[in-house]
Amino acid sequence: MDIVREAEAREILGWDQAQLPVLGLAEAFAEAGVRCLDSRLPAEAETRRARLAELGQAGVGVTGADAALADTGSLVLSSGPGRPRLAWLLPPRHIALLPLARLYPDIDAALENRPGLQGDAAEVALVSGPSRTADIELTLTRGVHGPRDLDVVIIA
Amino acid sequence: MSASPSQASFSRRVDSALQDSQLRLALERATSRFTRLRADGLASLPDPDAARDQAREVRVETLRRLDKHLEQFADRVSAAGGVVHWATDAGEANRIVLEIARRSGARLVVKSKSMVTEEVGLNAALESAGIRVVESDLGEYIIQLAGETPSHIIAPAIHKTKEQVGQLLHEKLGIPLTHDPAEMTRAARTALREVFLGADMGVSGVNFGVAENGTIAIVSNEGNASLTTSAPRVHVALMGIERLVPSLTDLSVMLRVLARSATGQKASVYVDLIRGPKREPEPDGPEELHVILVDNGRSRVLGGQAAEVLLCIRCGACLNSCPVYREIGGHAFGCVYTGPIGAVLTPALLGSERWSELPHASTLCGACREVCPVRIDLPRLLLDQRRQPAAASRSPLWSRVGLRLYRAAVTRPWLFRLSLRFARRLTRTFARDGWLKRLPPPLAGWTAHRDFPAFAARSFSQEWRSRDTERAR
Repeated sequence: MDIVREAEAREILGWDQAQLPVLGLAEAFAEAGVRCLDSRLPAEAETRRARLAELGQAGVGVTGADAALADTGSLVLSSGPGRPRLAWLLPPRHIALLPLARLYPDIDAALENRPGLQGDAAEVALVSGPSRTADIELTLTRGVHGPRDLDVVIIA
Repeated sequence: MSASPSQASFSRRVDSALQDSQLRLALERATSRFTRLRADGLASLPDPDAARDQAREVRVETLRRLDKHLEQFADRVSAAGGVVHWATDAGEANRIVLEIARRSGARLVVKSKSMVTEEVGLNAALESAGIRVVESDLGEYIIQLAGETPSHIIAPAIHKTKEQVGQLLHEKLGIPLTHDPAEMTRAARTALREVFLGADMGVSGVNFGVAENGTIAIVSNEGNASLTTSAPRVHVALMGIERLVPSLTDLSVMLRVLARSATGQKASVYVDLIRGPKREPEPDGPEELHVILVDNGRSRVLGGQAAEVLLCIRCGACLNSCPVYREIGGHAFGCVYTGPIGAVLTPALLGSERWSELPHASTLCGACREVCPVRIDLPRLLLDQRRQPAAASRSPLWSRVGLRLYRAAVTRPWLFRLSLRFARRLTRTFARDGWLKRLPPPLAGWTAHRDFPAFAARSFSQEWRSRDTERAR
């Protein structure tokens, strides 16, 4: 909530409460007057564009994490019911809630302990930090298309 | 080829690159930075050599049974709900994309960086069908606005100064003139967000396809590939048929060396492992996924001498290490694949006659082979390309005759010594302070930019023998 307040976000694009490892977030948002956007994208072109434009307003994205890899500093995020991909891509700020037990030394350890990691998800993303580029004269800039800030909250 | 560079011959393009001092400065900065980053990145691995050996093994195994892996891959992609298309050549690839675009009524297409789409000239094909295409990778976006082609695999706009980029964005986007990369990036982000959120179709490349379960792996640092493949209703992924690995474990072997070789990072910021379009209950993601497997000469190369070139994972390390590339940059090559890998791949894929000069643009120093994460023997491949019949006949007469004379002289010690004596007398007669400032053609090219030293009064072997004799006394 502190991060959300700091970011002065009025709208959140996040995973459903059921997909998050921390309880009571939905209520906390409601109390703070922060709106959780409906992340479902219609298949029809016009309505899809309209919904996307709305989702583009979200100030913060909130997700859980299926695993995290210590050696490369990566989060493993898979898509699924109640788990929009755009939550970790669209908003300028991304908060990932990571249970400590899901932190592994590297990808091999993660796959060993959680063989079903990929599951039937259409996408599994490995995210290793905020979005960045050095395309202009090799000057490193953050927050190109993906988030500018990534906060990982580790839950013991 | 999209936005084709000037039709001027290779040597003219090289000349103009060499005159461009700003380009050379930019290239020097970029290539030396990437070289250093790559070295640090690989050093962070417990055993970099083993990692590269493993990576090579994976790719060799892939190509060894490519037919089997491709079949399995296509099968798995379909099973996951994706549609697989096979394109024999560039024309067919473009036709397939256009057909998909037509059927989904796409007017606006957002693209993430893909060399194979440049190879087949996809953007031009889409545009002539009245479809607007916007590149989302910042470097590609910049050169698209400028109407240019990429000058480097990893950093396409590396030849532009920030002042030039500022001016370009000021003109094309109407933003106030700035020289601050952060401000420019913000402006591009705003402009491109509209495209991500409004595009009907997203077109991407594929870094690796995983045969065992039909996953396509796409990496980026900006997140543009992730957005391209998540927001639009239709996702079309183009993939060269050789860009496979057998299993997920093999994929992690490749990813371990890819980012490190390209930019020195331990991992690219975004690695998207996509298997099929969105599942029914998922809130977002594309409704349709199309994977287009592009041949365009690859199966022919696979059956030939240059097959090893297909191991390439497009990291760009060879470009950064090549003394020739570092001087002339990508545009001088005049084709989508540049640097040492391009000098082999382009003639091999697209025909040796048109590109026969490229394999000659090398000192065969082997720096490329030193840095290649899959240990491709580029110098050998370059020599093979030089021996291609079309390439061989292109060598100028003076060069062919000269080399024949040289071979005659060095294989006959008496003739060699005689020639040396002659050369010694000649150079010492015309030298001024021990240097020749101008040599007659065809050697005039040497003295255009440097002096040629006069031969020493005595050869090394003569010196050595006389000292030996002295010591013996």
